[in-house]
Amino acid sequence: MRKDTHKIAMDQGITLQILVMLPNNLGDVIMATPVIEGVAKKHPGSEITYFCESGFEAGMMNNPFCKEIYSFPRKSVRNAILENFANGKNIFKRAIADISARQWDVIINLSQHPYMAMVASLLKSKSIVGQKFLFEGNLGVFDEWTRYLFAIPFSRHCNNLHAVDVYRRIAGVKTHRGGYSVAIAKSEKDWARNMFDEIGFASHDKIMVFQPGAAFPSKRWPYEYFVALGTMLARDDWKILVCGAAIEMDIAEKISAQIGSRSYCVAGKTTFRQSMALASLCNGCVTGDTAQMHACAGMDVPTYALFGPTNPVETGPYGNGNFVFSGRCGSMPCFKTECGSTECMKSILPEDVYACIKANACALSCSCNVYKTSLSPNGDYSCVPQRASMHRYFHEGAVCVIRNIFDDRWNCVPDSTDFAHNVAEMGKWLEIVSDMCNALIKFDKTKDPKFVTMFEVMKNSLAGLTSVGAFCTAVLNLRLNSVPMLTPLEAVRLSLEECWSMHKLVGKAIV
Amino acid sequence: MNTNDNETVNEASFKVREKIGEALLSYEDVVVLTCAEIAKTFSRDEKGYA
Repeated sequence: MRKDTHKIAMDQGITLQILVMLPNNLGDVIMATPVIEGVAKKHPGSEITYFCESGFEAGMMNNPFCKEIYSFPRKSVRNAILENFANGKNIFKRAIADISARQWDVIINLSQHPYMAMVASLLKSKSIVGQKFLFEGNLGVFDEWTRYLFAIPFSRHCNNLHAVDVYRRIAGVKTHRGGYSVAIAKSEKDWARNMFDEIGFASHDKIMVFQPGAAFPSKRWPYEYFVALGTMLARDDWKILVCGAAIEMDIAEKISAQIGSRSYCVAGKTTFRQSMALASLCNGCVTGDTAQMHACAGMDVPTYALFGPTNPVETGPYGNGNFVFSGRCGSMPCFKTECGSTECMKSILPEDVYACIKANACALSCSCNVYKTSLSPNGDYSCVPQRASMHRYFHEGAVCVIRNIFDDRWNCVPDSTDFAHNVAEMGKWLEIVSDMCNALIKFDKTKDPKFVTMFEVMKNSLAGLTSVGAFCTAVLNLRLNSVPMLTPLEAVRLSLEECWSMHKLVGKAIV
Repeated sequence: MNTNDNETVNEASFKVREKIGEALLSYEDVVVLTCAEIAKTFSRDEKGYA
């Protein structure tokens, strides 16, 4: 069996040179901050460098636990490669020259992008956790929690962990104080105070940030809903600060103008750091699933997050006491970037958000799903429905089975029928994987290729399983795809090892 | 692996992929494959999103 070198290095409690990689986008960079903090606290004196793409540094700036940010100019490297490969290749090599010259103790690659796995493998490191590229020519994932992360999209209702909590597990950070490490420097706060003086926002004013833009059209709340909510808040003496990127300026200005004199629009006029600094002085933030949402949650600004196609269990505002609203639509979370109806966002009514801001609780008459975020003592996030009838985003029984397999027990009702149903599905899964193992054993004895064909047919039959079966199949496929393919007979032997190992884990978990 | 001045990233990566399963790749080979992956990337702003 392959040694888990990452675990050995990380458990010794020694000073390490650590590179953490999660290149984009801004929200994801903020979601990496608990890993940086957790690793720094676990290994005092260690030096942590963060790898991100140029343009996304803002989420990690001034982070007290991050010694250095390395910005990779991906766009210019890509353009150079496409223009003239020989030249582009040299530009790429120069771009990674600094980090290539260093000896890393551990590289923690939280990215799922193949190019990041390849960059990680080109660097000098004692161990890589997360996806890496094998010089045999295939991508490989060798730690359980990265496999878990990659398997989530195959059966989303089997997961109830926030991305941050999966990242923490990948990095070996078992407990965390909870919350992002988002630091605003004094100079940034001073700039924000001056800005508020200029626009007539006083320190005693109640100020609500509106972030109407979002990465994708499907994640945006209708602009007229922002206007309606802003008008209600203005009547209660709130002032509204409308933020956003340059691309969102038109809609932001329209909202601000329609709310009236108690609103001011800074969209397109500030950097993301400046927008964070302004928000840090405010009393709340109404936002879609955006980087600003993560930033506000990290600065303990009460956050009212509006979720449509994405999943607040996986990427909600990590922190205590934030509100999450999600619409009612049969197919959510669909993760569509564009949608003809945006029914989910439209079904979150301004009155519901207003009532929640006013009473710090979900109104009885609330028509959408409302959750309050909460952190457990070990830092695990949960999105707690404010009514029993509200959508859960995951199935308890399925989560219970999967968390058992990953040796990460989670309390659920042990006799639930959902649990029993999932255990039954795993029984079927075990039978098929056992047959797969037998086919490989027969091939090893006879070298008859028909047994490899049988193995492939049985492997393909796993695709018919849903729920926990689909999740475990995704994990098994990751294991099999990570087998180095240079020597066919050795590859068969390692594939057998992976199948038995996974069979053993699942069998133990469902007993 | 030497790169011809006129070779495109796709041509170079095709040559490397032919070696997979036959021999261990070299550092230069992995550089070529990395460039090929980077060439495929795009960010949200390039698709017109915020």
